[in-house]
Amino acid sequence: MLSPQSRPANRVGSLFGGILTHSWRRSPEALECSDATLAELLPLLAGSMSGALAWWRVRNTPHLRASPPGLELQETYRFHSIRTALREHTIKQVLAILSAMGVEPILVKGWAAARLYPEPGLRPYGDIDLVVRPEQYSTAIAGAKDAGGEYYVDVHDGVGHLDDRSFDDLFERSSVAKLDDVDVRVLSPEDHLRVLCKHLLHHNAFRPLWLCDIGAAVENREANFDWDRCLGRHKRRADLVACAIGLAHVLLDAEVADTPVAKRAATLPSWLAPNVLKQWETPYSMSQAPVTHQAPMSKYLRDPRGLVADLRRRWPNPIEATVYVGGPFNELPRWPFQVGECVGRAARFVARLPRALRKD
Amino acid sequence: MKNPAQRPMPAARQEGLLVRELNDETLVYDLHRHKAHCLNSTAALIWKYCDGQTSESDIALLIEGEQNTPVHPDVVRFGLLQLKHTHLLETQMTRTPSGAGLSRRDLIKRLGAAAAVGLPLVTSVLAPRAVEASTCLGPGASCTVNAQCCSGVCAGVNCT
Repeated sequence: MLSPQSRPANRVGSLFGGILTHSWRRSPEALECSDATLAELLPLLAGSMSGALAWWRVRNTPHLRASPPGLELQETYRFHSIRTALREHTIKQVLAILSAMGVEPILVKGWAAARLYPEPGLRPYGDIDLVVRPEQYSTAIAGAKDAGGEYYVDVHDGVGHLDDRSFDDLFERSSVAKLDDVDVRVLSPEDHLRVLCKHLLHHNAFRPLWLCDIGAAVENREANFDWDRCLGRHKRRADLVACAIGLAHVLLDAEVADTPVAKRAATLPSWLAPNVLKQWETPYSMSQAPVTHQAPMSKYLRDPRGLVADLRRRWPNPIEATVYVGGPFNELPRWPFQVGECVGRAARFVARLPRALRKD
Repeated sequence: MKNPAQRPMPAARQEGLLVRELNDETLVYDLHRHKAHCLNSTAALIWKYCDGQTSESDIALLIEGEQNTPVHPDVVRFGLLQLKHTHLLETQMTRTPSGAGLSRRDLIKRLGAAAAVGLPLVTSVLAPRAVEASTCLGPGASCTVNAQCCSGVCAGVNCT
């Protein structure tokens, strides 16, 4: 595991990882750090929805539990516990409405990930992601709108960028989990873990909570877990999944010793973990594209001021670029993939340009 | 003023609440008022036994049995007043004639400092709805920049 001392350049990220180590377990080790360190990390923990998990570790350390940052984490834990209860209330409502409409969605991420934690409130989520058959998409959207209230229910017509399998394939292997007395269809454990891994790397692993999800999914798997199904036949995509699990091992000490990815976890490309730790210095969606973009590119056609600075902001992260172009996770430099992603984006921009200009 | 003997038995409110039991406390969200409350273990026990059939003194006895420690009926009364104040009781409770002596400080004075640990406590918790309403805009809301939207995407003039 990386220690704060071993990588001073990524001190904050390493500390973050240290606090969340094993935090998805029922009885994680008591956290050993100073009040000052915890206070320093508090805004990052609370702002990245990791505060409740941090409390789960802090609660067993008397001097931290009673400290001001410890008490704040406890408040965060309470807040997220209530918030999760509200989300579950919405899930029940939306599933009842969709069921009446003849739609049976698969719930992905969010609650499906949270149910693997000792308490659902430890793993907060914003959206309720529901995947439906493409032909039922518009019906499901209307139903979700009725039920969702102010909370965001996100309906997807298929798993899109999250997976390369068809809805029917995923549905066939899916199972039903209980939310009190309500049946919730979730992905099979193998598909669930694969989707978590792809989602993590697709978003540069910027949110530490997502890596905890992987730790929870790996450590809570049943003895009959089908690794072939999880990793799939496509060698490069399987390696992507293995690398994501490897990150959970290297940064959060997830137990992978008895898995087929153990060897890969020990030989991750040297750029990968430091890059994730750097992301964890600002683990907010506000720090990610497209929120960081100053303006749409089409704006610069009329007024090029600020273009160079904004282009710099758009230079892709090595992880995102590798995933975008489907490149290998190896020791080779990342810049060709980063250039590749820029070219791909530029091509898409040019293709959409006539329509954007007509709109203006 | 009502005779205490005629006072209706306290009954916990059932409708419009989301309840989450944690290790040593209970969280309650009021779906009507959009307020969240945290009940410590004693307050949660008092609330649990508010079934509309059990008197305050019987609740005290039941809690004594669970906690293996003497519970003064005024402690139960103190908890009930807090539960009433936070709209977690159905029954309208009449404040006891000696209600003025039912503050936390008075109880500690009367029952001893050690009793403070076991006193019922109902505190407010930051309510998610208020926070979410103040931090980001939901889908369809008018926006000018991505950062205003919960989804992180302001498409045109509306959040996605």
